[in-house]
Amino acid sequence: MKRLAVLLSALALSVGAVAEEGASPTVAELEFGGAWSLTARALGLDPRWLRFDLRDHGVQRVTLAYSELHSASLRGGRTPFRVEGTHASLPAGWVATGNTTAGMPGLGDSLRRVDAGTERQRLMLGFQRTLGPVWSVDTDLRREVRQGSRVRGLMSGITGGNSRAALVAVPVDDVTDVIDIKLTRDAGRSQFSIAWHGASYQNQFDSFSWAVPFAAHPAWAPGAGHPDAIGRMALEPSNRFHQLTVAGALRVGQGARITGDVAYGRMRQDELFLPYSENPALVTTAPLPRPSLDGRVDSLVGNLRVTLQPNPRTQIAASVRYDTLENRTAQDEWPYVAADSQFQRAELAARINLPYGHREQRAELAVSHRLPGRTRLTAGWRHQDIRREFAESRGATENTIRVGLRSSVETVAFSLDYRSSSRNAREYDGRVPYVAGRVPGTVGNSAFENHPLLRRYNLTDRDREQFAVRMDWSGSSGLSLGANAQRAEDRYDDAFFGLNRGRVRQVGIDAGYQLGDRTQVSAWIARDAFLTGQRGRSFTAAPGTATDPDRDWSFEGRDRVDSHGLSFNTAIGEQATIVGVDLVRSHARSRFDTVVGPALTSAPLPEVRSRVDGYSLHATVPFGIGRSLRLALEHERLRGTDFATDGVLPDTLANVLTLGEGTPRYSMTWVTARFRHRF
Amino acid sequence: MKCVTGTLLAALVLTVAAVADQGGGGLTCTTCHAPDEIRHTPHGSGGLTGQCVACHGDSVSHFARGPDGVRPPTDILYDYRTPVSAQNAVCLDCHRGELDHAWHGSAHHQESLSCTACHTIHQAEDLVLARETQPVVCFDCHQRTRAELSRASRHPVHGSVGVGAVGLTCTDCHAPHGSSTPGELVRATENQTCYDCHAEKRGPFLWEHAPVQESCGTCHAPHGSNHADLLVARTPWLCQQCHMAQFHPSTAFNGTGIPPAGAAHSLLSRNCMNCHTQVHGSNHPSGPGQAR
Repeated sequence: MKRLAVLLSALALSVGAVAEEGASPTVAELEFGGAWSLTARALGLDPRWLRFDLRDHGVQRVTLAYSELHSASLRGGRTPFRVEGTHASLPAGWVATGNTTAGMPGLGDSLRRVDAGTERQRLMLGFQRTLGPVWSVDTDLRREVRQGSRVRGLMSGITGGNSRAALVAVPVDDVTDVIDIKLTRDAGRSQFSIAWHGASYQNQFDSFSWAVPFAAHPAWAPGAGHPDAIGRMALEPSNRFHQLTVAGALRVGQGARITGDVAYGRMRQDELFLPYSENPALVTTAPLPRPSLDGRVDSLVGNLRVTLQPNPRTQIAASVRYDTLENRTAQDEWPYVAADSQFQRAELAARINLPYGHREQRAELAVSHRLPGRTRLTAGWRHQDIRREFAESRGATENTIRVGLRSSVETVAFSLDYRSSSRNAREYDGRVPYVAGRVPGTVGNSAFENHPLLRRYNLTDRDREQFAVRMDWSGSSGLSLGANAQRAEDRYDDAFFGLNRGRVRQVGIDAGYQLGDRTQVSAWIARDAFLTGQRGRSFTAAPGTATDPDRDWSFEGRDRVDSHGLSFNTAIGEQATIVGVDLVRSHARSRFDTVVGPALTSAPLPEVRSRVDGYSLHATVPFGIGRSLRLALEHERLRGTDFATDGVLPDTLANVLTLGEGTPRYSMTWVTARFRHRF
Repeated sequence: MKCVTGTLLAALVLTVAAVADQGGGGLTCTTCHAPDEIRHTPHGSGGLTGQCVACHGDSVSHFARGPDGVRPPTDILYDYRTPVSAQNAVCLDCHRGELDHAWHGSAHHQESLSCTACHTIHQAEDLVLARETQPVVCFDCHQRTRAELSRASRHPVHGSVGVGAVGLTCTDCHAPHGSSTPGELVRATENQTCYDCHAEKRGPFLWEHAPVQESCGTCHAPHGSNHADLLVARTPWLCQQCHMAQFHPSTAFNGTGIPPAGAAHSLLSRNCMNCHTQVHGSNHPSGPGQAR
C-alpha cells in the first residue's frame, strides 16, 4: 500500500504522464512527422526508460536511450553479518562455541533482515548514416552500470569433504562498456561490411572478505576459526574483448547467393591475484607463479553459406561453419590453500590450471521444395565435429537429419517436423582432466576423481529424436484455432552413471476470436512435461565403496509446467475507448524419485511447486485527434513451496549459515498510465 | 512575370494532381479506401504520400469492375495469392540495406516468411519494432517460447507474463533477419551473445569451469525454467550429471537429507552453490574448486 501511495504521488507529479513500476514504463510518447521524427518515451518510476529517436528517413538516425532494470534475488533473508564496502563483519561480542551453526549462541539475537538484488542502468547511443549511394555506417555505444548485491556462499574451512560456509549478500558494482562500429557497402548485387566490437568489463571490487563465524575445527590450521579468521574470495575480474568481423554477400545469377563472414576476437584478463590466503597464521612458503593471470583467449568464427533457387519452387541452402576458441593462457602449478583453513599444499600436491579450448566444425544442407498447391517439403542434414582440450573425450561427431511438411488447404494450415541426431564421442577417459590438473607423476594409474563409469552428458554418445506437429484453422466467422504438440527424447546409452535419458513432451492449444472490428479475444494453454533420468554410486574414500553395486542409486526428476493466458480487448462507445484484460498463469510441479541400493537409505522428497500469476486491466481512451490516454492496473504474484528453503532457518544446516529466507514469493500491484500525442 | 510564374505553378500543381488521380495514386485509392493510420507512418507521411501503387502495383485493372461487377484485386497482394519472393521484393526495393546479408538461408527465409508476416505497414506503430510489443508478434509462431517466458525463473522479456516483465525484448539476443550463428543470435557465438549482458562471466579465469566457455546452454535454459537461475534441471542433480567424486558429490540425495530426517548441506538452501559459489570460474589462486 505504501508502494502504491508513492506511485500515485509520483503519478500526480508527472501530471498525468506515465508511471509504471515493474513493467515497461512507456510514459509519454511524442512523434513529429516530416523529414525528422522525434520519439520520446520516458518517466516511469521504477524502472525508468527514456528514449530519443531522431530519424531522417533513409539518411540518418540517432538514438539515445536510458533504461533501468531491477532484479531482486533475495527477499526477507536474515543474517548476522553487517556488510560495509567489501567486508562482512560479525556483531561485536559474537561468540562461537563450536564449528557448526549449533555453536553460535548469539545467532538468534543478531539476525537482521537482508535483501539482495541489482539495478542495471544502461545508457545507449546509436548513430546510423548513409554515406552516398552504397556506403553506410552504423555505430552503437553502450554503458551499463550495475549496482546492488547478490548472494554468495563464503566458504570458511574444510575437513575432507565437509566445508563450512555462510551465505551473504555481497555487493555488486561493475561497469560494462560496449562499442560496435560497422561500415557497410551495399551495391545491390554485392554487400560488404567490416565491423569492430569492443567490450570492457570493469569490476569496482576485486575481492570480498568476511569474518569467519565458526569456531575452529580441530583439523583446521591455527587461526582458521573465529575470532581470528578472515576469509577472502576473488570477485569476477575485469576483462575486455575485441572482435573484428568481415562479412560479404554476392548474388550470382538469378536465385544464387554466396554469403560469408569471418570474426576474429580476443579476450583478455589480467587482474592482480590475491594471495593464497588471508590467514597470517597459515604457512605459505611457495610464492605465486605469476602476479596476474595474463589470460588470453582467441576466438575465430567463420561462416560460408550458398543459397540457390534452381527453380521457382526449390530453395537450397548449404553452409559450413568453423568456430574455435583457443585458450592461450599459460599453465602453472598452484600450491593452493584450501579455504583459508589448511597449510599450503606441498608443491607436489599443487593443482595446474586448465585453459580449456575447443574447435567446432559444422556443415549443413537445407532443401525446401514447394509442391503444386500450397504444400512445401523441407529436408536438412547437418554434420558437426567438435574437439576439446583437457576433456574426458577429445571430441565428438554428430549427424542430424530433419524432414518437414508445410501444407495449407483453404482455411487449414498444417506442419510436421521430425529431427533425428546421433552423437558419437571419441574415446572417453574420465581421468583426463584429473591427471592434467595435477603435477605430472603424482597421480597413480588407478586414481580417479569422478567415478570411472560416469559419462558427462555433454561429452558422451547421445541419440536425440524430436517430433513436432502443428495445425491452424482460420474461419470466416472470425474464429481461429491452433494446436501443437512436440516430443523430444535424448538417450545416453553409453552412460552407466550420469544422465541416462531426457524427455520433453509439450502440447498447446490457442484460439482467437474477432467479433466485428471492435472485439478480440485470444487464449492459449500449454503443458510441458520433462523427465530426466540419471544414475550414480555413492562412494567414499573407504576401500571397495566405489565398486560396490549395493551403493548404486537412480534418480528420476519429473517436471510438469502448465501455462495459460487470456487476452480480451473491446472498443466501446463512439470514441472507441479500448478496454481489455490480460491474464497469464504458469504453474509448475516437480517430483523426485530416488531408488537406492541396499547399502544406502532413502526417503521420499516432497513435491516442489511454483505458481506465477499476472494480470492487467487496461483502458485506452482517445480524445481529440492523435491523442490517447492508457491507464492500466497490473499485478503479478509468485507463490511456491520448495523443500530446499521452506522451514530452513539460518542454523538448520550444521555447516552452512544460511539466510533462512524461505521459498521466494512476491506480490506486486502497480498502476500505469501512458499519454500519447501524435502530431 | 509574377503572373506567369503563378500560372505555371498552378498548372504544375493541377497537372500533378491529375496524374496522381489518373495513375492510381493515393488520391484515387482513398476514394474507396478510407485512409487509416498509414498517414502517421513513414510510408504515408514521408516521400511516399499517397503512393499506394508503390507497394500494391499499378493495378490498372483494379480501377474498373469486371463483368461480374467485382473489381479485380490489386497487382500485388500481401497474402498467399502473391509469391512471398514477389511480396518481399517490393519491400526490399527500399529496405535492402536493413536486411542483413545473412537473410538468405536463415530460419525465417527457409520458412518462406514474408516481410508482412511480422511487420504491419498501415499501422502507425509497427508492433514488432516497438520493444514492448515485439514479443507479442514473435509469440504468434514461437508459442513454446511464450510458455517458457512465463515460468518462475525467466529472462525479463516484455510481455512474458503479460505485465510484470521489463527490459528485454527478443531482438536483444536474436536477429530475425538472419545471422550466421545457430539460433540466429546477434553475436558470433552463443556465449558472446550472453556476455553482452553477463560480461563478468567472460573471463578468462584462472580456474575455468569447462562447459562455461563452450556453451552457457549446457546448464541454462535461456528463455525460462521452473528451476532456479534458469537452470535446465534442478541442482544438486544437475551437478551430479557431471560430478561424481567421493563423498558428497556422489551422495544419493533424497528425503533423508531434509528436516526432520536430516539437513544435507548439498541439498538444502543453495545446495552445491552454498560453497561452490564461483561456478562460472574463479580467479583466486586457491580456488580450484570454484569456491573462492
